Amino acid sequence: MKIYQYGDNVDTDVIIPARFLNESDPAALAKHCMEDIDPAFAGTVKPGDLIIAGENFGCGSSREHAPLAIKASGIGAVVAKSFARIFFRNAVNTGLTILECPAAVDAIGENADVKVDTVTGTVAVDGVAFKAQPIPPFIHEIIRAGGLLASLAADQKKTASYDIVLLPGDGIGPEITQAARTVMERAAELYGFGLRFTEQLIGGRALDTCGLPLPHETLESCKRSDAVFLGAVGGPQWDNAPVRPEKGLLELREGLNLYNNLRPVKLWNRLAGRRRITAGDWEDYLIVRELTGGLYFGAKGRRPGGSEAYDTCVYSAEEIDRILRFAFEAANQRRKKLTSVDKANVLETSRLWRERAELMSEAFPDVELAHMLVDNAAMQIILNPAQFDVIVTENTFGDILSDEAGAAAGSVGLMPSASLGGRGTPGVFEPIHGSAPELAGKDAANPLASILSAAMLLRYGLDEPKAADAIERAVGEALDGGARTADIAEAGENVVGTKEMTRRVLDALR
Amino acid sequence: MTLTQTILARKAGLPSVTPGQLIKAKVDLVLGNDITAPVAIREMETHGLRVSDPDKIALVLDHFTPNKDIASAAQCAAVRRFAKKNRIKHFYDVGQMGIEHVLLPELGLAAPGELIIGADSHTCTYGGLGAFAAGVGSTDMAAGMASGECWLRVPEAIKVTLAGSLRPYVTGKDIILSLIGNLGVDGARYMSLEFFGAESLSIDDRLTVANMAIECGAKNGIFPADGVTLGYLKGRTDREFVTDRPDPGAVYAREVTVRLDALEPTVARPHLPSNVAPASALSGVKIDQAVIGSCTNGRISDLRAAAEILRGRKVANGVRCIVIPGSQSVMLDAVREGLIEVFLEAGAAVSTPTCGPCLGGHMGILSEGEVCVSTTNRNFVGRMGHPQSYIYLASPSVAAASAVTGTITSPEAVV
Repeated sequence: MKIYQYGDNVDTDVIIPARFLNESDPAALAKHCMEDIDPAFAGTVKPGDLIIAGENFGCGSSREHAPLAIKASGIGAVVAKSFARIFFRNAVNTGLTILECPAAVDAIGENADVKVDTVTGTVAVDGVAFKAQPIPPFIHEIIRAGGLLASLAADQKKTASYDIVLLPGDGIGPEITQAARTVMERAAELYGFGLRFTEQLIGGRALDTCGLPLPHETLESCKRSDAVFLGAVGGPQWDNAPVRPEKGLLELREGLNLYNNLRPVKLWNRLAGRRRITAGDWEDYLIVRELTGGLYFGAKGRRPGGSEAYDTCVYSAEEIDRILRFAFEAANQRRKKLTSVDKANVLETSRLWRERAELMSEAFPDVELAHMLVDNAAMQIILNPAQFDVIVTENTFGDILSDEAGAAAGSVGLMPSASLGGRGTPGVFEPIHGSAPELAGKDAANPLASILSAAMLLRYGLDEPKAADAIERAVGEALDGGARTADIAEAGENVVGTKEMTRRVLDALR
Repeated sequence: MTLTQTILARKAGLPSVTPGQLIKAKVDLVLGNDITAPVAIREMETHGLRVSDPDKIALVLDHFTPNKDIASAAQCAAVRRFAKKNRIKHFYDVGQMGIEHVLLPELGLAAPGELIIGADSHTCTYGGLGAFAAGVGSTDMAAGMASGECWLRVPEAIKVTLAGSLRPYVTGKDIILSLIGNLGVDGARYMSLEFFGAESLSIDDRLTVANMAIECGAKNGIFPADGVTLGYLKGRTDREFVTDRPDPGAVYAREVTVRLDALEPTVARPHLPSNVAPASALSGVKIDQAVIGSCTNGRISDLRAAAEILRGRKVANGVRCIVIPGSQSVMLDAVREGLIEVFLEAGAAVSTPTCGPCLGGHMGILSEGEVCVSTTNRNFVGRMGHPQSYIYLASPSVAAASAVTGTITSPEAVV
């Protein structure tokens, strides 16, 4: 271990000269550390070496680059008679160990043997121990964590905890919800946050229990939560019920004001070529569907006599703008291509939609906006899906196109979805497939769409993108490793059940 | 304990603190602007940190606004997005904003006994209201937003006793310039400046004095709250606050007395705020520009003082006089009181609130060889433009009188 000795008033301009401040990478800064007073420093310094200095070390500008450069050069600690105020803050905040110990500095001769114990705050010079100005435990923690923000991040992750409402629903719903829950719990453990789950009724089971597809308590519980996970609803036993179980979904969307439905369409490598009807060997796009306007929510009814019926499609500029804005922003984060799908050659709402899209595109100059008629879009999803990055469309078109896209990519069992509202309101995350009553209770359902919905929940609902990425990677690895449920298995391939597939994902999750 | 130490002990939840001690204290407000907040926001996002209490953050877009160029527009856009995403209540954009240190006291966001950190060196202004307020870096700002806490090293204090009362045309600006001249630019390095005997000083004057505490290296400047403070805060805040006093046996590193009646209009010559001289001694210095505004002197009383000199007079030929009201409400009061009319008739230009020229941003940058008398706070080399330009720091009365004569002039010489 070597010591580098300097005098009083070593300023930040010599620690790292201003001409190198167009860099912020610590390793690059370290190459020029101390260059102007000690050209040999950067070339000879080894990890664990010490800087010994006089009074007022680090005076001058407030640049955080100075402690960063020293730390990145490998210096284990700086021992000085005193430190300049801002350098002292910056050293602590960036995780550089500093000790104020005037007596030790005076005792250190040219070839002194110096040992620093940062835990006890002692500097031993040729075997004689000097006590440095004590460092409180929280500053030790900051330095140990690698800086103030890293230490806070670790604290926040430890304490962050989210409330999630689980709505398992009917059919295979409970089994796939269990799979999603297990995977979320493991991801939370790995990435250091807490999850609290509450189960509530929806759909057929809710009808059977209290006569309503969305009990009041369920909605209230969802409103209080950070995110909602939904399994699946419906089944043949409620075909003749006065209220259909699916009505619970519509009420939930309305109750939480979810206006935005997201469906990522992705071709999973190992499944390319299977059961798929789209062309090309790659597709990865996001469908953004408006969820609370248009035909499904406009005035509808029968004329007197009942032999004539009508539905009306209404969209306000405001409704169009909020979904377009989300889509533009999403495209901006991805490959910067947005396809707006309408039927502007026939429908007035579509013409308004197109006008608003054109207006908004001025605010997103980097995003390439293209318009496509819905009939053509239906074909292009099959013929050339690789052209898409983000598709945005109104409610009815989105309903049809998103199912088409999922089925065409050959993996309805792999398609998650998210329904989002405004900031601060919980989103609902669910697989797009139905309740598959014929598979219920047989450990035969594919849990991957549900697990991928859980990943979306972590990404869009809780803002835990690292955990979400990890789940998506784990699903990819499980598929790469040959895990297949019946719906995605080719003839001759070994088929696993819901639980085994979930276990394979858990094994790959890290 | 000194006044500052008393506040820090309470905010750290400790019975007492001593100079040099490192503490972790609860923060009442974290402030950032369009220059420093984007860095803090980026750091928070890099570390995946969340805001702990959106109501304890103030974001003010004041430095290069209304956006002076594309880069500054991008900075503001980043802050705007962050404010919206995190539902920051105290976010002030063009149309509501003012220069941060003019705006926050006006809005009642600083009160006695509170602990305020801001990623702006002039955050120490709020000491004028009896708060502990200190400038910090962007990393500290990010940490403050994420944790609601800040680590601090407890400072020693210099006790400044203000004796007597000010003569006409002598202001808070003259007090602080003469004190900086006395202490030097690092004379209070790391320490608190604690001011006593200020009963006769208005809040605007106290804010001006505290504002420039940093210019002699101080961590903070502070006035104990009194009746004047309580009168100012009435109707501005309904938060409960504590009015602290120092212990009778408080230990000070140094004590100085400023005889207010002996002060005269004071000017800091280039290129240090400590390089002071009486305005009357500088009457030969020709000026090209006069700037009246900034976080130091952009309040309504500053505009009134300038208008008093400029009313019925004209800005001298060859001098550009730029008046920058410190906030929307200062501007509105100035309109209602007819001050803006006075400025325009005198041949001055009036700008929307901005830090603008004070830090060489925009709205009055100096060319090579030009001389400016300015009510701002720093006269370092190149601060307002070209490295070979010259800044004289002064009060609004001196700046206005100088604008009228074209040379540095004491107000008594023109009225």
